[in-house]
Amino acid sequence: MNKPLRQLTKEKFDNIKLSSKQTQALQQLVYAPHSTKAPKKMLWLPRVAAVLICFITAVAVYHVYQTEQRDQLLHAIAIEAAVNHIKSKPLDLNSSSWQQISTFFNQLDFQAQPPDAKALNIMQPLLGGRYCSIQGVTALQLRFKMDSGATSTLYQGTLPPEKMQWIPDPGLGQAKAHHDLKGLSISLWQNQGLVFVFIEPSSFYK
Amino acid sequence: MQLTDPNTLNKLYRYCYALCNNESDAYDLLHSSIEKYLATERHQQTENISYIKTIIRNTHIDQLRRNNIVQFEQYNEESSNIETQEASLDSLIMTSEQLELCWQKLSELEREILFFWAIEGYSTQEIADQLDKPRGTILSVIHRLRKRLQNYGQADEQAGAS
Repeated sequence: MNKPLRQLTKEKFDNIKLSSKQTQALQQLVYAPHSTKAPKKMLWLPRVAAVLICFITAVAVYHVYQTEQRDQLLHAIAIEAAVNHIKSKPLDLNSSSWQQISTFFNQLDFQAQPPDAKALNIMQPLLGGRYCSIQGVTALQLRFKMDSGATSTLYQGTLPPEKMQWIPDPGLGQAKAHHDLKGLSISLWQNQGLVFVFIEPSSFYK
Repeated sequence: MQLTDPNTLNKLYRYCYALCNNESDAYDLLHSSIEKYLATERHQQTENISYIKTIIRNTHIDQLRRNNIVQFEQYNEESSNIETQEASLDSLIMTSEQLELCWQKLSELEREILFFWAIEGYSTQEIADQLDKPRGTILSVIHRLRKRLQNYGQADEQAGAS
């Protein structure tokens, strides 16, 4: 039966209906708008958590890396100083006078400091000193004679700032670094921009 | 107009059907469009059915793009001399069988225009505004649509007579 197009189109679309189940599902969707909004709101949470985890991991990795760098440097200095001490090369100046020693060692690029006997617990006489190097930088080593006949050595020197930052500074409340290597007790620290390394036989042999 | 009202939902569903030409796809499109609408801040202020229709249309276009379905529209060759034929669809008479057969061959834009014209009662200008297309384009499509429906009706009648 012929009908106008508008009427036919209306009739066609009148037959297109949602089932009651579909209508209910859509109504529930509208009645619970927060259930659709909530996930959107929460979307930032895992992202922020992921960024935080990445940040914390990066900080932790950086911290571990820094610690490892510091430990490697301190260990390298301790080994170098220990090897120098064991070689016990002849002194450039044999003298127990600090005035003579400080006058003699004038090729250093820093002002040598008199050993603090109390702080180092050195009651033995000073034997003298010699030029040496720590990490390739010219340094001064002072040798002391112990009662047992063994010697102890105090190194003084400087380091580039990027290495200096890893050396503990007791003036800032940091504990001196201690290493026990090759039967020697080695202490490292810095004071007023100078690096000090003190080596003495381990307490077992004193 | 309440979005939970079954009549409103059916109205939107029919628009989805005009776009998809498939009841199952139409329901999926309506569902995801309502979800999108509810996720906007605007739905808290007012329930704007026209705005929901825009969301439906955009969602449908997104889905077509995602599925790499390209809609080709015919060349607008007769747009210059059709300005006077605005009410041309009103005079068309055919059977429901003819419309049903012809419907499957209509483009998405033609179905959409038929929907707005017959169901919503929109004028050509209102259809152009809703679809964000020039009025001349809509008139051109209506003109072609009329020709096709007419030709289809005649061909069907001739086939029936022979």
